[in-house]
Amino acid sequence: MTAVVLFTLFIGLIAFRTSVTMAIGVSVIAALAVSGFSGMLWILPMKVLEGASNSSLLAIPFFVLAGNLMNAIGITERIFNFANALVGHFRAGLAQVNVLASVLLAGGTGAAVADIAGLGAVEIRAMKQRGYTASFSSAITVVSAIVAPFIPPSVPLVIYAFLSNTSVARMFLAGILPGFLIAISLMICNRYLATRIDFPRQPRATGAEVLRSAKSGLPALIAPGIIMGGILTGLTTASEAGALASGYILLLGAVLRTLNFKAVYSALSETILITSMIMVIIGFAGSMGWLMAIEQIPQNLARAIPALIDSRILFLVAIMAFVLVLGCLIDGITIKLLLVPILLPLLDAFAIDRVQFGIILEMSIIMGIATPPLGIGLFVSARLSGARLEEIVKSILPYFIPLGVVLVLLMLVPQLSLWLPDVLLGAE
Amino acid sequence: MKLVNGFLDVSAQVFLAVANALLFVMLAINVANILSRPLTGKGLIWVFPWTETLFVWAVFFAFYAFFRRNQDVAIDLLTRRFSARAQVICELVITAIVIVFLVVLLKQALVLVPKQVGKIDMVGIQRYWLSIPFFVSCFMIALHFLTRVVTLIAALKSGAEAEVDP
Repeated sequence: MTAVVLFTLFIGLIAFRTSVTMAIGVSVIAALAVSGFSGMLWILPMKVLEGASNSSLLAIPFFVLAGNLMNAIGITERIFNFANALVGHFRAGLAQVNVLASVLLAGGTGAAVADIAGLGAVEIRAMKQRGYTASFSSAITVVSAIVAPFIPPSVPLVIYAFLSNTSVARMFLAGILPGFLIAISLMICNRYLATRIDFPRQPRATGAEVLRSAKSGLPALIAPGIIMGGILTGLTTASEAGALASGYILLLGAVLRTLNFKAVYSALSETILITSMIMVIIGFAGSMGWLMAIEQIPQNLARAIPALIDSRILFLVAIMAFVLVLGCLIDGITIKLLLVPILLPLLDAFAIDRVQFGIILEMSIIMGIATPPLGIGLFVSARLSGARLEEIVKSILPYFIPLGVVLVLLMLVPQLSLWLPDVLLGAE
Repeated sequence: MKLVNGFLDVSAQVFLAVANALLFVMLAINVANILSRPLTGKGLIWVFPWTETLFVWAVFFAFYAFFRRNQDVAIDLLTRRFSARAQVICELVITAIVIVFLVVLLKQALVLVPKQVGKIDMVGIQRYWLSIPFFVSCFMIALHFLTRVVTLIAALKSGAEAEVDP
């Protein structure tokens, strides 16, 4: 009964245009009342407070800030120019630049939408100037941003690590190979499309030009190195590594003379507004998790589902199909908060590694940013390029083939996610 | 009504400025802590509890600014198919539900705050000071939604539903 009230009310409220944050809060309060906990409604603000003061989530604002500072002080443009000097002369050159720049900048933003809003603005402008259509420029910008949550640091992986009780360092390492795999698959797709579409060509950059752009762009790439280096060597905690990277970017902005009060204030505002939303949703969903645990909902599912599905792969396929559909309708954080606490006992029952599952789950969720009707990436890129949503969707469709292949590979080959953390941190 | 909206806008700017300042201080003290370890051979042990405290306050102050700027995600896939009048009525009902929820949440302050006794280690303030900005923000968000209710009712009365910003 509790689960029915909780989920029916949540879906109903979302359908009638209630904001996601409030929909979670209202459905939790209603479910608490129905379950006989009306005298314990203080659990809700208590869980919000617990969520906000959880030390394992302290890294989030610093990672987001590092990305926003990069955008605010113009480092994004330097990374784009560096990627352009390296691969701009390839067939479908700027489409390849778009992917490579997303890989390089992923270490700074760690979030797909931040990648589209920051780097995407530079990429779409450059692509349109050089003769690419607005819809194709938007499409490749959205799909290349899918790399961002996999290359460390990654806000979505920090949240998953928190929910699944896994190590942040292990999750970060697990994301690296899949991140590169996504980038390579997109570049192969670009190359294939270039045989069918006559994309504009660019001359090869001279050695001096490559060196000049490297000198300008490389300092920005030290930031992700600081984060991973700090965490893996144990010299800093994850949050301190994020703070150090943000401090480094501020210093870089001062050296490059692009730092000003307005840019820093804007980066701080964007960071704290998005972080606040994430933390309050985590808090509200924390009470949802508490209620589900009291009612033994995950445990009951863990007993019931294996009786219906006995294959590990079939279970993963069913979950991923469900998440892919959900990803078209609800944002990624909410999906994780709703599903991960329910799924954990099932993962253990099917002997699925939580780290591998986190990567598969993230891949299924993040593809939602590029799918209608509610792919947030589509809306952001459409606003930047001025292209119509339907045209962008049409241009995105071919990219779902490589992305789908990567998703299947991640499901079938656990080592793609587990090899690097096992080698560097030891097998669990 | 203009006066109330003006007050809510200015408050949102002030709340956001406070949240920004707290975030900047968090950044500064953490960088100072990391640098102090190799430079002086010891860390600043008060940094971690203060970072946690400042973060909680920053999140809760920004909570109101977030809503005042209408930045929360809402899905209009179904409601955009409704007539303008039906859309306004639907929003009115949802907004009323949200206000009731916020009032219920605010009532919990009376239960929760007395439970949060004892000083926070190395910060030295009573624990309930952590949650007070949350309740203040919830109160401001409730006011924000109340002004929305007034706007929606006025639109319904005058038949100008189509002119209400979604």
